[in-house]
Amino acid sequence: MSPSPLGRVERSATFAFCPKACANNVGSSGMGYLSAGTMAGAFDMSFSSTATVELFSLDPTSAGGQCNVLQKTGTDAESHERFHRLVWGSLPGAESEYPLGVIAGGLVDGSVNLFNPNHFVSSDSDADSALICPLKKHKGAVKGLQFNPFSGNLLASGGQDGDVCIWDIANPQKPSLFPALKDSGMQKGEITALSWNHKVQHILASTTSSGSTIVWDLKRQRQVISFSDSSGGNMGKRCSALQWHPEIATQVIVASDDDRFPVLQVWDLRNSISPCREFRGHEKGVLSLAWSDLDPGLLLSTGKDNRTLLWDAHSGEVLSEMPRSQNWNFDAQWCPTAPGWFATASFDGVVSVYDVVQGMGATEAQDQGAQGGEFDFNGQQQGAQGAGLNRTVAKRAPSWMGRPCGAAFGFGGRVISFSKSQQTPAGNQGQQQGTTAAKGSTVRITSVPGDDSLVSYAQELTQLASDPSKEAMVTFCQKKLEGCGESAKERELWAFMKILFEGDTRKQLLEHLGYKPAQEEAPQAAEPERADANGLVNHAANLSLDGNLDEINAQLAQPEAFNDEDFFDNLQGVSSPLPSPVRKEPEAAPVAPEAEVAEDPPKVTEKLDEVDKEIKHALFVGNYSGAVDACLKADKMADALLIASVGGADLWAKTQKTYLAKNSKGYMKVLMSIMENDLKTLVQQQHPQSWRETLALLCTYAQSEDWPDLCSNLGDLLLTRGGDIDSAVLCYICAGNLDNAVRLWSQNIDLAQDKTQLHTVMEKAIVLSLATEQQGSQAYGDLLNMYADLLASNGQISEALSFLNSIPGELSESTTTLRDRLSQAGARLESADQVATTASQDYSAPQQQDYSAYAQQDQGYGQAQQYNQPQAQQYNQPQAQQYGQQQYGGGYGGGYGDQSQYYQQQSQPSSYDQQYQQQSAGGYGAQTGYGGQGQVYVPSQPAAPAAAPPPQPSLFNPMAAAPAPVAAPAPTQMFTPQAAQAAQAPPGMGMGMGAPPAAAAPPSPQPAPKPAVPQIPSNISIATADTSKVATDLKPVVACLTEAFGAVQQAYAGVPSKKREVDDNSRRLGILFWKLNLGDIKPSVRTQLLELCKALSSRDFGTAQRLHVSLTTTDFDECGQWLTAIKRIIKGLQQIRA
Amino acid sequence: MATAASLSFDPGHRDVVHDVQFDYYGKKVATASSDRMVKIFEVVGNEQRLVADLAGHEGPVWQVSWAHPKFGNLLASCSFDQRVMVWKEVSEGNWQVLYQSPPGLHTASINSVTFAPQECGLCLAAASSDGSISILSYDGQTGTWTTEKIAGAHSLGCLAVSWAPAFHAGAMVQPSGAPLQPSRSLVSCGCDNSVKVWSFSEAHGKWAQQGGDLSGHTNWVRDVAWAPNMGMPRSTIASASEDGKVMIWSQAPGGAGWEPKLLKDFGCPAYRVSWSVSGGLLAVSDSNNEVSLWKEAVDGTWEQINQ
Repeated sequence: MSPSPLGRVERSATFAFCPKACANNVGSSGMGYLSAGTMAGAFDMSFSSTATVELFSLDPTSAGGQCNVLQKTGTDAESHERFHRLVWGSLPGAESEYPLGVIAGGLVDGSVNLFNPNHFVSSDSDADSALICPLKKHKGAVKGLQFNPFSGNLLASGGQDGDVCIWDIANPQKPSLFPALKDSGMQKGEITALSWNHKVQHILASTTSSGSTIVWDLKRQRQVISFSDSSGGNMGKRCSALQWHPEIATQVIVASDDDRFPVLQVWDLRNSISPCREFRGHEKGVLSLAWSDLDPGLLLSTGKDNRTLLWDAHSGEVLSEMPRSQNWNFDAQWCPTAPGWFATASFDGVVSVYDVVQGMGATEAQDQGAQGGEFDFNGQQQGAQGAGLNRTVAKRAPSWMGRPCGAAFGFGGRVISFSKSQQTPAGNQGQQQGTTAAKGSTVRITSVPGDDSLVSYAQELTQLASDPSKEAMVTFCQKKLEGCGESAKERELWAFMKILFEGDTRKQLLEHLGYKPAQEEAPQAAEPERADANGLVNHAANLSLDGNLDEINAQLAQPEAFNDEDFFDNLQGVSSPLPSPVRKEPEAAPVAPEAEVAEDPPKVTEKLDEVDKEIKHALFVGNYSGAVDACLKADKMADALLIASVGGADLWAKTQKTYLAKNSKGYMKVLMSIMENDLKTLVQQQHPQSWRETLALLCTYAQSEDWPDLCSNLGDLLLTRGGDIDSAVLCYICAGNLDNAVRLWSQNIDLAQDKTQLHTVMEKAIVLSLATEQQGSQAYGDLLNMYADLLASNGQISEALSFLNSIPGELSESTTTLRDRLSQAGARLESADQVATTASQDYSAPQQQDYSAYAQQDQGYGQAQQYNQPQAQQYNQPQAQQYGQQQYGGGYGGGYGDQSQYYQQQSQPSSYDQQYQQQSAGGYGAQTGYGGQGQVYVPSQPAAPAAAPPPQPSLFNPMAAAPAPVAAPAPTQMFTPQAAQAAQAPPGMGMGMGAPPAAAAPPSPQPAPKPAVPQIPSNISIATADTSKVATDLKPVVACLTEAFGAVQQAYAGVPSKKREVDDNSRRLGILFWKLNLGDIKPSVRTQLLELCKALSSRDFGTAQRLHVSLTTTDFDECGQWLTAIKRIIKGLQQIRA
Repeated sequence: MATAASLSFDPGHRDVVHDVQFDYYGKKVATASSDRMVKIFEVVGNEQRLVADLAGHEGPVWQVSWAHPKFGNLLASCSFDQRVMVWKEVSEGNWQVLYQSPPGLHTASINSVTFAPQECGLCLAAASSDGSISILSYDGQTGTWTTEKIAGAHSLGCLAVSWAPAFHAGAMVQPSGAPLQPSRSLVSCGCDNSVKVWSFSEAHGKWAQQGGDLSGHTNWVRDVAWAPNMGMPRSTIASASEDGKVMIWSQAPGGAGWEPKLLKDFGCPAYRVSWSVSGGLLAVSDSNNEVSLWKEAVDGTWEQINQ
């Protein structure tokens, strides 16, 4: 398999690369150009004798598929003679006229032609004018030609006549020639190549076909040294190519095109008697060579053997070979603008561009072809053998491929960066190694410049979340309310929030909205059906949307001033809210007329007009329907309604409808909705702008269970119709819709802009979360993550951790994950000796326990591989769940508490390791794919699902009555199979570890040099925990917590949804007691625990909570397993005894 | 602004280092070097400790990437030797080769390797000088690794690859409560001066380029990095080029085009771009060995925050 060229063009041409990436020029996508001049000494099939210079753009974008990076561009310039050599200089200082520099061509007739390549590509110039001028001095073909790398205006040329000319072409149109160099009288030969030194500006070397190489010092205008290889008795080998070492000033490489001597020799001028290195591999004479400027370890050569070889210039090995051509390869050059690209030219009539890296990768098939020779210092030929090319990989990578420096971020606002260590160029001292001896790099870890203001913000929030009592919240909201200043929106928001905590929410809200709730005669909010007509009128009037509200109120203020009929007429009538289920059945109706008439005899005798007569007639015969029709016809609405009210349900409903249809007033729509108990439609119909009225209506009429949905609907409506985000948020607050509210708040956060924004949103979200007792909201979880992330990326890991620890309630999985990440990252902040201490403690830690924990865990992961299999379903059994819960604990506490086990694993004794390795030997595919200490990642099973929060009538009534929005989370798939594994241990998934799950059997025997220490019994509970050995001073703790647990258990006895929480509490407290029994408790924790119990006994819940938070933030590692239970119990007691 | 605490050490490689990466927690550091070694350090406080030498590559190691810890302690490395290796810490300080890419997966140097977001499972992408990108995924059911290939991604050679967040920008703020499906997208760059975005289509079961090339660089694009979601409804990509320019490309949700913005012309090749964990900051490394940190200002311009 041979490397394929990136591009090729069929020309028999010598070529030169443009020295710069001319992106600003027409037709180039950036890599620059290659110019090709018709090669001397070759004819194509047409035997055309013309010669041209052409330009090809190096266009990498055209390289997709099988395209060609060499794209012909611009026009050609004709030349009167063919070229031996083409060079391209950038000509600094003349960019305006020569933006692409200058191309110089050495011609057969001895002239050097200068071209302006800009004329090839520029549309407003003529390619024929590209020829600037010919430099005529040489009497024979010009084969040596090069621009000075330091002074781009200096061009050296060497001709067949043996002369070296130095031209100054600062103004290419008026070139000047420096005085001829004096040679030492050494026999002149045809100059075949010349090269400027890369390090010393005024040093030039030339070589001849007679085999002598001369080094010129231009300052002194004469040659300073000359040498030729006279070994083997030859007079001197024809030299064809030469180049100075890219970095070492005293070394020059010369190649011979003598077929008897096809070598490249490196000469060091400090010892010009014999070459210091030779490269043998070509079978016939070498025609060209190119040493990479970017990586002096890479050297190209081409020869009459039709080969192009890439050498490791340090070792002399052949790294790779390009495909052989059918004819001599006479030129090779590195592209100065694209690292690793080079071009070769062959008498096949092809110029090809290759990438050296791709070439290096494709050397498998070439082990026969390349005969890299061992280099030797004595110039003696050795048996050249394939230099390891049967490897598919080159031994050496080009130096430009690797990044010498870089930086990456780490968790916790840190940046790690690396760069090369200080370089010490060693080449000048060392004879052999032509490279810098810079080895190795330095790594640095720094912190991102942090924002200290975040710390105080975070502490505020931590404080806030730590005291979720109603009073504290009300105070806080009040403070925010007062602190809002001008912002009406904020004030409103905090007012709403405050109301959530104040109890009797809907009443408060109604007042806040500007409506005094109707007093005695007002309907009970929850029972609108009992409202009497007056009350309704009252409310309808209150809520009316048209302008005569005041008028109506005024009228209502003195109801006695009107008789009923007038009143109803003024109002265009109103009706009782009741469809008449309490009315008499229709068949009873005919009996009624007498009674009715008897009740009102005076009116019967009144003078009647025609209509009245008709009505009266109908009434008398019991034809209510007719009477109503007549009334309606006469537009006597009130009469019609009154009559209908005794005429049976159907008539009543029909009349109402007719009436409402006739009446277009806004408040009547409201009334209709209320009557039909269709508040949903009402919400939809109300204009978004009058959302406050709608909300007030909902306050008054909504059923408890509908309230959150209706408020949410209203919020949705505000969003979709009006895009009124602020108001929608208020509605969501009323609805207790934490998710939507937080989502809306979060939408506006642009972290990049303003971090205080996030802080204020976080503050609101926490308060709302406390008010609604919800934590399961996705948006809320995301926000918590965002905030903690921000702190962490600011380097404030411990602050972020205490912040998350202070958040009440169960955290979402992703937040739990983040907390774990923080706590792990936080561990690195400990000083090294602290860690060492921990580690040694871990060694003495219970081994059996570790072992079994690991076994369980590993099984869990083995199982996890199969989580997609349907059979996992079947494990979803209560039994399995139960087991899982015991093992992995509820909520974060369990998962986090396992962290100690994580460390313990890390320091397993070797016996354990062996066992593991045996296991690994069996093929990790089966088991270790996901293994390792991902333990801390086991998605914690949210224990005590946040199902129905306890009823809290005093706090936010509607919510408490509503179904809890947070459903009990189903065990995650990851989790379930683990449990299943433990419960059933299906074959094929087992680890072959021989360690049955801890719950089912004792840990597998392990040769433990130390006495086994008991592990937490899997079925531990408050009832089963042994407390006999608990220290005397800690006995009160056991007593107090047992009592408290009992009280809470009793209180929740009838609440099925609380059963799991109670069970989990029992288990967690069991663990605590078990630890107390062992005396495995830190003194600081011990003290706080005692205080906490004292506070509980004296019902000082504030103190208890504070102590709980303190434990959470300081000793979570130790207390994680049981703290959740303490928290629940404090909360439970608070509710029971409130 | 807090002063940056600094820890500086010589990782002890016998040749130039080409990559360093923190693990998920920021506790461990992996280094990759031309001496064919990968080293693992533990960083505690202001001290580092060498915990493992991973020997196995037969050429310079260009890049390393840590897997999410839920898959265990896994590190991937890629090398000039045309191989990707995945290493696993089987017990503390004891690392073993878990996987190495099959011969012939790539026929030239593998320049970049990156684990996918954990939501996509245990999966990594590798970019090679042979022009292709391969995506290697661990199949938990069969315990085997499967390979997908994007052939000819950058035919002149692919230099870097970076994964998009598993959930598209903007997905977080959509009101729909439906659980989101992770999607797999990545961005690559190479010697064709271009940056390209690729997505896996579940419908067609294959990888395909998304939209056109992100063109603007005038020389090799050395590195590319897809920013983590910052809660903002837009995707952001940074690219660093041999031409000295670092570009920021951003795309509005559902938007078709990527809008380029020049971060800075460094005047010397820019080697590396790296986003902070939560996405707000960008670190740029240039060939002058300078590391500059950048942050987007209120007016959308980018400003340097160090020095």
